[in-house]
Amino acid sequence: MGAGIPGTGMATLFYILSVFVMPLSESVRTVRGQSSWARWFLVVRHLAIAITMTAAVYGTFKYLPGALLPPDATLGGVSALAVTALLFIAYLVVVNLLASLVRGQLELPQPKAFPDRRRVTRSEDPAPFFHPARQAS
Amino acid sequence: MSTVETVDQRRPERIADEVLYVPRALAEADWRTGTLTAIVPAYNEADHIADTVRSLQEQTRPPDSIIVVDDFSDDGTGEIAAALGATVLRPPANTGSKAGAQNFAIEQVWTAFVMILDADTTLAADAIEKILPAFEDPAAAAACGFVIPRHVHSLWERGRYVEYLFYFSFHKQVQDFYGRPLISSGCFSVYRCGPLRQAGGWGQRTMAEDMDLTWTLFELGYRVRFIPEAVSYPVEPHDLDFMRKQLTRWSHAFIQNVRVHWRGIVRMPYLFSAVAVALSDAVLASLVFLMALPLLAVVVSPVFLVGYVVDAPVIAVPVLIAAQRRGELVKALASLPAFFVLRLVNSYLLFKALALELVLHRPLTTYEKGH
Repeated sequence: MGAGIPGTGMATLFYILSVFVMPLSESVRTVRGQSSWARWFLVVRHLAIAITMTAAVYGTFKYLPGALLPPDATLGGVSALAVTALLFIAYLVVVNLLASLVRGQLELPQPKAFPDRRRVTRSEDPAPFFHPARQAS
Repeated sequence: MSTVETVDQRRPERIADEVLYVPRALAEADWRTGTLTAIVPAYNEADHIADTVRSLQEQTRPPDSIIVVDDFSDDGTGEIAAALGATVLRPPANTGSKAGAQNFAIEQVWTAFVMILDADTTLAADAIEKILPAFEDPAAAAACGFVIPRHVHSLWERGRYVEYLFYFSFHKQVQDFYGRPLISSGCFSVYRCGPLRQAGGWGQRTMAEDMDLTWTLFELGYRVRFIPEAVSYPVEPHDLDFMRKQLTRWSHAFIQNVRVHWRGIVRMPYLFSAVAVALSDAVLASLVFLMALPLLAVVVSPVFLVGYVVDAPVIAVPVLIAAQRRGELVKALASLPAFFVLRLVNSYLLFKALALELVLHRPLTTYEKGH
């Protein structure tokens, strides 16, 4: 769910997983000398929120809708919650693998869609003020 | 001195083929010394424009100039803004969209930074001071802030209040950590002028110029930042009719932007995953809330109706933490149920938008003001 975009919780699960990857990502940045206490504070705060949210999910699955999720709602002895999370991770992996394939396909036949815009535009380097393609036809 | 200008020779469509230059000073500006212009696009905002202009003037770091684009209003919006000392530009005819009004103004701007503020949005007194340091990063082209509804009274405002608390205190901060905020909100954002011009201003090919520009900036290799300490207060739709208009536009715009940018975002793994999940989740939400749950409730057991609110404890965690930090715990608790009503309406409108955009090929092309 985003602001103005409805959701069932799948997006929230994505961001919870993202938070659990944050310490790893920040450790890499720390080793490279690109981290800061402020960033680590953000990581710890979001980890605390994500852990509380995970506990809320667990509590909801375990105690609230017993009629919706009976105790035998398991797959091979694994809890329904874990199955949901695993299915979601599998979904993310498949989607990203597909994206990688598409990415490869896209990069082979066509040159870069834009010139290298990381380069700061100089006054002698004209930049289009309005791309005609970006305006409504 | 207040001025009202009608610039009838420079219609936005006429400059579409022009090529302008980005001076070095604009492209490399330092946020500490760079000048800032605030652009306020306004169409019939006489009720709110005075608060907005005053809010800009009372900033701890006020903008160097304030331009109100009076987009052919007939309620005296321009006169009110001019009386308060803002420069008012008036196009020869209504530009038809917020993007049009902003593009009309940007050609008059030659400061290093430009800020967009909706005409019904006010800022916390230190919002600009807090947001500008985002440009310490030379690759940062845009920065946006936290958004909280100014009025929280009606069911719809309460639903939106919870939605914003949840989204801006959790999702968006995680997106920013990974360097990919999904959108630099159109109601309050600051841009470096050079990259903004490089991107071609605000596109009018979708109904959400802010999402379009954000993804274009990513595609151009720039960064976009989210600064939660910089807070803005827009007036949100207070009734179902206005909310429907706004959500219809947002739903169509999201699909339109995915269609326009998919080739670009597929190259950015985190952004791609976030967009793919958001789109999948939105489709799933429409199917679950509008079809699966009612069917199961009728055919199997009414207990399936719990499915509409089963994620309430998860939603409540970041919402209540954010509300507690703002000293608004009771307001957030009282507003929580409204979120689920808003989500149901949103699911219906997104489902309709999916059908119109992708199946019936009837895209939304008319910008209808949501509030």
